[in-house]
Amino acid sequence: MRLFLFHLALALKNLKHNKSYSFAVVTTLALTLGALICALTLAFVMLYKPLPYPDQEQLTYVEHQLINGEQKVDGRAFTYPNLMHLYQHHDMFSQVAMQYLDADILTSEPSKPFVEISYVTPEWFNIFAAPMQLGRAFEQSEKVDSYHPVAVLSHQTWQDMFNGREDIIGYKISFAGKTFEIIGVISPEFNELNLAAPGVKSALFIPWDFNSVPESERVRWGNDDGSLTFVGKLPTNINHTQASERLTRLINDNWKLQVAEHNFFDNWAINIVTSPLSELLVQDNKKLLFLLVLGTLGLAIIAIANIANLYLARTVQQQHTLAINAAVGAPTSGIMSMVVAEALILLTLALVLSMLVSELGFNLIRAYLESYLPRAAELSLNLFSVAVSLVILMLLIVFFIALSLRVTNYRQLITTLRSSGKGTKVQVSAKTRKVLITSQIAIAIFLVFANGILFNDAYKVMNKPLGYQTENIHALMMALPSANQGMSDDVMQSFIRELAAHPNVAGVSQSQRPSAFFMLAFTEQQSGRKYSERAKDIDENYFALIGQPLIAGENVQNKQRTEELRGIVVNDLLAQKMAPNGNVIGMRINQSSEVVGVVKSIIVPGQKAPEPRFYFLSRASRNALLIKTKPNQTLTRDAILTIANQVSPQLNIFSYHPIEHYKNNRLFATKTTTSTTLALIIITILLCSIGLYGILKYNSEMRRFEIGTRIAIGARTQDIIKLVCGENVKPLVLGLFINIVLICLGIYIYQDLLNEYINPQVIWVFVMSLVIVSVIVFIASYLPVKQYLKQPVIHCLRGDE
Amino acid sequence: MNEILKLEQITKVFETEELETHALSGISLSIHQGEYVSISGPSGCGKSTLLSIMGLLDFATSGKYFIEGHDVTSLTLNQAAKVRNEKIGFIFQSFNLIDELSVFDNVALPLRYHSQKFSNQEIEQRVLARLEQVGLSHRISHKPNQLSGGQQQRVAIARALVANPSILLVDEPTGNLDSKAGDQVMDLLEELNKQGTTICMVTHDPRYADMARIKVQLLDGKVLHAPLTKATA
Ligand SMILES: Nc1ncnc2c1ncn2[C@@H]1O[C@H](COP(=O)(O)OP(=O)(O)OP(=O)(O)O)[C@@H](O)[C@H]1O
Ligand SMILES: [Mg+2]
Repeated sequence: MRLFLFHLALALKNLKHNKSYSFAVVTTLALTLGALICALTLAFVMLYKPLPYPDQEQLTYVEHQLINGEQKVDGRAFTYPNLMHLYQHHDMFSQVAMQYLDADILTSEPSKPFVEISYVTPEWFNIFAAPMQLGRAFEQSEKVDSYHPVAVLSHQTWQDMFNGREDIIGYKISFAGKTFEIIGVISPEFNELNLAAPGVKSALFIPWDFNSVPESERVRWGNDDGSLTFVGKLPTNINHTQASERLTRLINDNWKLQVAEHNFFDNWAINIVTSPLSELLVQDNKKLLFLLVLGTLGLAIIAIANIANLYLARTVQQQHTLAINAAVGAPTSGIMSMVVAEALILLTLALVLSMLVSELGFNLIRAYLESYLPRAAELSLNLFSVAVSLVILMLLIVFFIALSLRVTNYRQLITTLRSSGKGTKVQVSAKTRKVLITSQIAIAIFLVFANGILFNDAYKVMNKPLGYQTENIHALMMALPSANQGMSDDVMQSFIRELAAHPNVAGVSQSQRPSAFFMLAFTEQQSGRKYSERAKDIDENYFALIGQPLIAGENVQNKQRTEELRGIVVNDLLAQKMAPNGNVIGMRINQSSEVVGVVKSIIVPGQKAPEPRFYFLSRASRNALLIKTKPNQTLTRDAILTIANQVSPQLNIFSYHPIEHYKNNRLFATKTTTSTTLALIIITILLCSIGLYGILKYNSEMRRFEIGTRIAIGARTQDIIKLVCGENVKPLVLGLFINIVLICLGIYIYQDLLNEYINPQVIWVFVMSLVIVSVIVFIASYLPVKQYLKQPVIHCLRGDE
Repeated sequence: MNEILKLEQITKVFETEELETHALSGISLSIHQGEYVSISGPSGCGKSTLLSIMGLLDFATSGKYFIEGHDVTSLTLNQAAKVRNEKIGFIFQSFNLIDELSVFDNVALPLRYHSQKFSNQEIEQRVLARLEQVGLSHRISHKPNQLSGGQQQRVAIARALVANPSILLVDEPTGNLDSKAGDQVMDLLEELNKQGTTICMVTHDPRYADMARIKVQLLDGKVLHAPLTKATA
């Protein structure tokens, strides 16, 4: 033990002398292991960590599927009456809660903030065990149909909007024409889980009764709404298959009765699927997690291979010292402890740093990916990450000890001294070197290839021409005077006239931004075929304003708003679908519409391909506008407010953004993928270059005399280059082969997961990856021997320098 | 008689950070076909430096150098490689055999780098002939580290001879050998010279120096004593 401590101290001193070596080892390991720990912790939190709520294994998410006439799932959101029916008539859950997510403007606050609002039933606070900082949560007095106008604030809102004032209880806030008294503030420890939009944090909780679904919609059995969600606690003696069956019967039977008079819903049905709440949250993210773990694992392996190379070179460098120690009587264990001491110091240091790196990673994920990864808020350096780090540390130590045992043969050490004249030195065995090089090449090809595919895919999506313009166009959404009272036609129309008359404005259209669509069902009259397609309400200025070309027929006309029969416009894909070999124009839709025109389809930012869509005439009171300003002109929010106030005091701005803003939002995930994969490709190439250079340099260092001898005998520059590059052709081919096998196997096993990436371009990406890695290998082979080729051979033959 | 090497006023200066070492200062020397020249002198006097310049392993700082009448003073590295390959056989103190290659392949190496492409049959023929000459034809598939020091040096001699060079340059061939193995190597060199090979050898063993017919003495980078060669005689 004393000896080991002595060796540790000695090793520390040595490492101080070899700063660049220590730095390279510690930083490479810290960065890559940090990323790996981060990815593993993320996967653990998402896949295995129990949800932080009481009886979390009983928490059940209920999905409401609308099954269409073709027995396909048409929608996965609740209709309002079905949700209420489930809430009131279920006989199975021990506790249930409903939640409706929306957003509105707090008109009572001077800053008119726009906030996320959750409308919940009182049980919601019990189910998620929301601790209160101040006041109380909702109770029986806020149960359904009590219409008690109170509100609970999130801790964040209390702090940000009300500066944490202590007298907040009793304070009144208003929005949508109603006033609510604040009765409580939730504690900051609470981890909110929003079922409708994981990651979204509500600023405000309002009793269910006040949700923004208008009375007229609350009784519509056919319209589903993704903001309606339901959660229940399922007793442990009922499994999910049973629960789904029973609930389907409960909801479907009632629904069939209710929609019996609508022919449209003949053959349609409701299917209820329950699943553990924890599973709901992983569904969409499994692929992401898989790729993340795979990517970081690959990087870590490359890094470890690199470090193994550096370490071997270093150990060989130490051989002489070790030999002398052995010669003066150091026992095997002493020699071993000398060899291991250095590795131990470096690895421990790297591991500690890697935890800092992963903590940094957690912060980045929380900051940027919270809205994509529902449980990102729970991410932190936890027991799991520490355990993972320790396991990695143990594995690495074992690996490095095994490695040094391979190189440092005690018996051979002594002979090194004796036979030093004979030119046989202790070396890393050629086989070990070959394995290291091959594994490094194989992983590099794979990582460059995998990232290349993701990059290629994301890049294509990002740069797909949208088929419409976004320049100088803003989307303006006007706040409705109150939830149940619509906008008046006259007010809206005169507001539009005033806006259009503004000198900076080039055009106004009464429509939502181009990327917003909703599902709408209709029946084609002649054939009686039913469709459920993406739809959008627009006015006659819409297509011209965004520059979407009409390819046949006519546009919609505002004057038809008062007519019995109105024109609709379909896009080319829907035209093809409805009339594969005939003319779609003139087809009757429901009782009231007729197809009058066909437009070219557009791509919604972030989507790979266009979809069938149709456009119909908006109501005269529609509160969504697109405003196009003249080039280099702007129209401020205040200017709009001034115009609005002149028209009617009722008018208020709900949101006003350039449509580029929505485009960027939609492209966020794609852009993140593009930049992350590009960064990963570059890091891979860098790591791989450094690693291969390191090992090949060591290799050529070992072969200095051999190369010198060859040159002395008459080998020319090109002979030597051919020699060193040629030697790496075999590892390259082997790496290629390993990859082909692994990729084929991967595609075979994960077919479903990878299907969308399999296309002919994959081959090109693979060839590119191969070319990139080959170039690196050849450059890394050439650079270390370059010095031998650029000066007289004698330098190479003499052992100095 | 043909002049094979000619050195005129060759100097070599090693410049390191602090000091300049004048390893050779004004060496003039010529070697003719069939001669056996030894270079000797105290340690550090510049013997190895001189030999590596003669062998085009290094370049002189100033002076002129001719091989078979051609000026080789300022060749590119690749031109130098070609001349080494075709005109010069170099034998090192530490043998410099390549461990991964068999005895046969070690000897064949110069032929593979030769500008003239040899068929495998020709290569085999020539390599076996040379190994026969050094008495090692029964060891062709051994690896160098399976041979004794003396045997290794004889393989090195076979390799130096295989491309039929104009001259053998030998640096302390016996430095790493015991006296018996050393004697064997020296006998072999003498035998080769008798058969017509021109040899220039560095040694500080006076016994071996005496075996040469022309003895050059170096001291501090200068020729201390050079007997008249046949040409100047
Ligand atoms: N690369 C070099 N850089 C600086 N000085 C050098 C270099 N090579 C040789 N020298 C110096 O040149 C001088 C001659 O060296 P050389 O190796 O030719 O001696 P030598 O006669 O072969 O000695 P030995 O009998 O010990 O082999 C020595 O003083 C040596 O220190
Ligand atoms: Mg010498």
